[in-house]
Amino acid sequence: MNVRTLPLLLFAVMLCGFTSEQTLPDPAQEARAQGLFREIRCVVCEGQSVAESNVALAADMRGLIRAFIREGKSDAEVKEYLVARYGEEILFSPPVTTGTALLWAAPFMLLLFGLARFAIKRR
Amino acid sequence: MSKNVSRFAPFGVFVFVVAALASLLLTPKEALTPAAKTLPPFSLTTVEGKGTLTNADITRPSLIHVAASWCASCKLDHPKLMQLKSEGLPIYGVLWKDTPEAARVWLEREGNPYRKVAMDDGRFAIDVGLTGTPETLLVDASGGILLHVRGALSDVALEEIKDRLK
Repeated sequence: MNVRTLPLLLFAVMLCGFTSEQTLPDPAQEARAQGLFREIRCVVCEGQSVAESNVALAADMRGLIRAFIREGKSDAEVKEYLVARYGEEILFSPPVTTGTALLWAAPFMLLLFGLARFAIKRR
Repeated sequence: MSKNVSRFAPFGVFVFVVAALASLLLTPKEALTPAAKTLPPFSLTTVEGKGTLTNADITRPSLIHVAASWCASCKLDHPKLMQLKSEGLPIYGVLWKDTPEAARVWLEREGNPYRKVAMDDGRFAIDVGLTGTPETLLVDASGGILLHVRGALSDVALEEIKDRLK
């Protein structure tokens, strides 16, 4: 084995780790799946999406999302399915509802308040 | 007066925001409120390999305990489940990501609080909004999920279960 084949061999072995999961044969569908994975929170690992998480539950969710895409479900239908079972917290960007309106508004409110105070002081 | 107001206003805004956000956080009882409100149609193979656990098995308010032989904290539920079993509450076990062999050994060693125990490879878990093991569902005969306890059964959870069964 010459000096060039070893790195190539190691690279090939590394790629095997990434291809152990069954991806969708249609690249457009797989791209949709990957997009959805990034929007769905891993319910086991704080802060990670199911795209990033290694745990069994995240792998199951990826498999289920892929199956739904194959069946012809839209992105909205996939999200609706998971939200019905896990609540809105499973989405990384929870929709604006009366309950979450304060969460969305608070940073802007505080910023406006700070700017107003600054403006008043300058006068 | 206005000088004092402007000095303390940021703190006041802070207190208001914290209080408002705190009211959105779950209280212990609200933490038991399930997201998934109904059981999916399910048919899971029992640990013996021959029978099935399905929606039809649930004919009155019962517990579905999702656990696994490899799950350390599931042991914490065991004595509580045996107690509830002795009081007549039907308890069904769903073993998540487990094998029948390991399950049988586990049940023989620890004791069996379940009327029926079945295996789930993952779909049932997602359909009831599982986030780990152990989790306990209080379900009724029409397939409604009344309570969803995440993690081992706490005293608050046990009390809430007993309240709902009255």
